[in-house]
Amino acid sequence: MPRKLPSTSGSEWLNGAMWDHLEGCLEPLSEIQETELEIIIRVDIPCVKRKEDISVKLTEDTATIEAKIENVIQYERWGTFQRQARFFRYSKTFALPSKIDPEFSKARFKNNVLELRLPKKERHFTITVE
Amino acid sequence: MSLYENEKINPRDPVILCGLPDVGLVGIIAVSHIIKEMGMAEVGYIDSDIFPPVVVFHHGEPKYPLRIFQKGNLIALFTETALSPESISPLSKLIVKWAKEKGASLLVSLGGIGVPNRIDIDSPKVYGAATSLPIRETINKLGVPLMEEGFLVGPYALISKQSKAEYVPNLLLLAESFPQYPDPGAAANVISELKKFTPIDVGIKSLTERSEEIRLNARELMRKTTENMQKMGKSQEYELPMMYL
Repeated sequence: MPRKLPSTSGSEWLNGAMWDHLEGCLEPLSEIQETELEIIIRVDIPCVKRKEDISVKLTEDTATIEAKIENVIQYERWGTFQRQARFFRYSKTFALPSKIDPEFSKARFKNNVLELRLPKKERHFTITVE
Repeated sequence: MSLYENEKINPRDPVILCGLPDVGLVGIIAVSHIIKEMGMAEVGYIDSDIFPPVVVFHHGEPKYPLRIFQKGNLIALFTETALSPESISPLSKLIVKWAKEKGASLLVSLGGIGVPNRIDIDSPKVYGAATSLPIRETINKLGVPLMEEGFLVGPYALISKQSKAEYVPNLLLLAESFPQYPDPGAAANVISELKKFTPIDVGIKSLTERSEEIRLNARELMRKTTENMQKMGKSQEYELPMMYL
């Protein structure tokens, strides 16, 4: 998640914003889908060109994504804020709804969408109906 | 809720395009591109007490977020802000009533259908549907796959219902889309299919080239739209209708 803006700024309502101009960081759009066996996370990261620019860190309970934007995005007058703003990375940490097994997790990057498939740690058995 | 014409809008048998916030922001992206490419003039706006307290600045001028554009007999309705679930019913009624008053030859809803495997689809398919039989026949004749069965939830569902009640010819063009990400690729394909129904001189090259920039800039509108879609029960689009099963 982008760093929260300091409360002394008097801009607490900005804490839900998807950008942090001080850190040059954007929060990507994302979705989490949970199936019986895995958790699937998809993250939209336009302007990221290479899979080598993406870092995925997993624990049993969290997934943290960092991605470098190929060419720094610069707005001369950013929104109503009207100041220059530059963004050069995405960052987001997900709290996972179930424990996962990081060792068997997979990631792919296609059309600027990063997809993580995180198998659940809980083991499942199929039994025969007699 | 009221619609204001800056000057009297009096086109002959107009085609009216709707770009309202929905899946993948397909309609908004497509209509915004058409307005820019065709150099359509701003001719009116829609406002209501139940809209969010928002104006949008363009070149120093505060503007209404939901505006109307025109060039010849082509009219486009386009919003730059998310619409609350409470506002879409009166908005849909207003749009259809106005389209009827103007003698619209076609009221076109441009939108998306959320598909979970969009990441693997290189060229999203566009489906057509219509409130009248002649337009459905045209859809078939033009080789656009018909949206045979299913549910549609949101502003275009209400426009469709209201169009049926008011006998306004409503065409829906819905592209396979990312459910929760802005989808310029889907918007490009919707425009390509739209051109089969009405002759508009709009290329999609610049839209495709600006795809990533659009995805980046539309993130917050997409997030707010997703929140509103959840409140509207958008997940019903993944259910099967009971009849004919």
